[in-house]
Amino acid sequence: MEADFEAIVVGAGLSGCAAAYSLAKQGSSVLLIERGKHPGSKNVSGGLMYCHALHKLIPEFWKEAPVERHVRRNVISLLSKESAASLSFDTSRFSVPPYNGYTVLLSKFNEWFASKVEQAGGIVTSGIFVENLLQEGDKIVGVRAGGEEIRSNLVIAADGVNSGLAEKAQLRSRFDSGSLALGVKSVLGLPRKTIEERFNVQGDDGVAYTFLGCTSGVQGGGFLYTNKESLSIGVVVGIGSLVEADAKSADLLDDLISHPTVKGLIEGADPLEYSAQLIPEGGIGAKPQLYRNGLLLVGDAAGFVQNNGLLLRGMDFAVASGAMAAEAGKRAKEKGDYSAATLSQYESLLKETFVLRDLQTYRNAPHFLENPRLYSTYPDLACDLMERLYAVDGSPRQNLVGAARKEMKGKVSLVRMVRDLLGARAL
Amino acid sequence: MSLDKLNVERRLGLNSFDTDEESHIKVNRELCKERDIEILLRVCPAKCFTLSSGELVFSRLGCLECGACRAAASPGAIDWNFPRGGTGIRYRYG
Repeated sequence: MEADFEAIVVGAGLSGCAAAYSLAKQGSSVLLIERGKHPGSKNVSGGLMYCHALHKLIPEFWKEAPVERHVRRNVISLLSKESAASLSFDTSRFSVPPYNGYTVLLSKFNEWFASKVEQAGGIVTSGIFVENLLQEGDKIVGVRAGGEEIRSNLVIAADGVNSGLAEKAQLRSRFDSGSLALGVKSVLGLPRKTIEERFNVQGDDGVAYTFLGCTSGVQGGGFLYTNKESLSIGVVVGIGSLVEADAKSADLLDDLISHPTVKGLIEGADPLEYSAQLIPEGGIGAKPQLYRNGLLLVGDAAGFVQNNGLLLRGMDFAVASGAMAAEAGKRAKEKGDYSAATLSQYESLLKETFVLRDLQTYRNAPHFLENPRLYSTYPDLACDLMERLYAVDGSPRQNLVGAARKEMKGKVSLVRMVRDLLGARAL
Repeated sequence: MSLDKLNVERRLGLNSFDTDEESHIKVNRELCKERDIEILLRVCPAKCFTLSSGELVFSRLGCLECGACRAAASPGAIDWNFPRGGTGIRYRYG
């Protein structure tokens, strides 16, 4: 039976849009199917996108895409109950094109990206859930969606972290709880002028905060990003650690919002939306089989996210993997052969790019980040030590080393701390 | 609106939903044991799981479709699906 399309892409998130856009640009007939009412309506991200991957696909995309602010200042903040010890890095180099990273609101962003797919000649259809893959022998030959069978030479599963297609095609089983994190986020409206004054930024410059120590000891952290006229604030916690702890996911965001230091940053902001999203951060160790006859796996569905504690990157991985899947699709089309053997080039292509290279470089990061002391002992220690340095109340003073030893007593041994520091080589 | 007093119920009130007629998640009473109940009550960021006269109940109203419940509960404790195409949460910001 003849194919209705050369390629069907399931899911109009970043990876799906990137794949469909690239395929359409190559002149392939492509159908992009989205289960949400419109593209973007099921998409959530923390909100910081590193620009390089999309810039490669759509040069200077920030000129036309609904981006928010380019991040020129990164702040890492260690929180105890009442204090914050922070390190800030500010550079004008991130404030000029090609920008290092932009904050985005992903629903709006993907609505734009899907419109680019249409402009390039792809067909985008929304509000339709893909129920299953069509199989003939060991070949995937299309999808079943909305009671209809649609046939194609290639299916690209870009259906996200909860991908049903990856499981149905037996490319992987469910991600286990140890390799998944839960992000819980609020978007808060705040006037542009207030953001500029409060965060000391001009024009479209922006700030990104990473918080550690705000999760009641649960593995994870918090973030706060400035958008044009809103803030994105959230927590990301490991599911495995959350299950073992005595914490409620919704309360962890409340705790961050009510922290005395954070409170001042969001003062007067108006809640606009509440969202949640699973993040596959198992790294290379959790990498599934990426292809089989007629099928490729991209983006979150493939687990392409890298977390090293300070940086949590998924969006640039999604874009690049989508583009690489399209490249593999192009080669298959030229050969007239969509077998697993030909499509295996997808993995070879990924190995030449940052996607699989960076996951390989940070292969030990997931294990390092399991260390519970990162999420309460050390942030507390940093804050207590800083307080000891700055608090002057007339009682006899101690030198820095003495003060540090005193703070560490009963919390963590020197040997353990050195060992933990050495573990940071995984980053 | 004060952020301090912004509990989950009020936060969810900010979101747009096109609610499906049928529930996409079902509690499997035989397999959903005490430990699962305790976990599901805690991990759902939208607090869609509640206890009603000792039984765990899922309410699809407010579900953010994140999948945390499926990831956290033991296999089979809940039947997890996406809502029908075009229904469920409709993020405007994301």
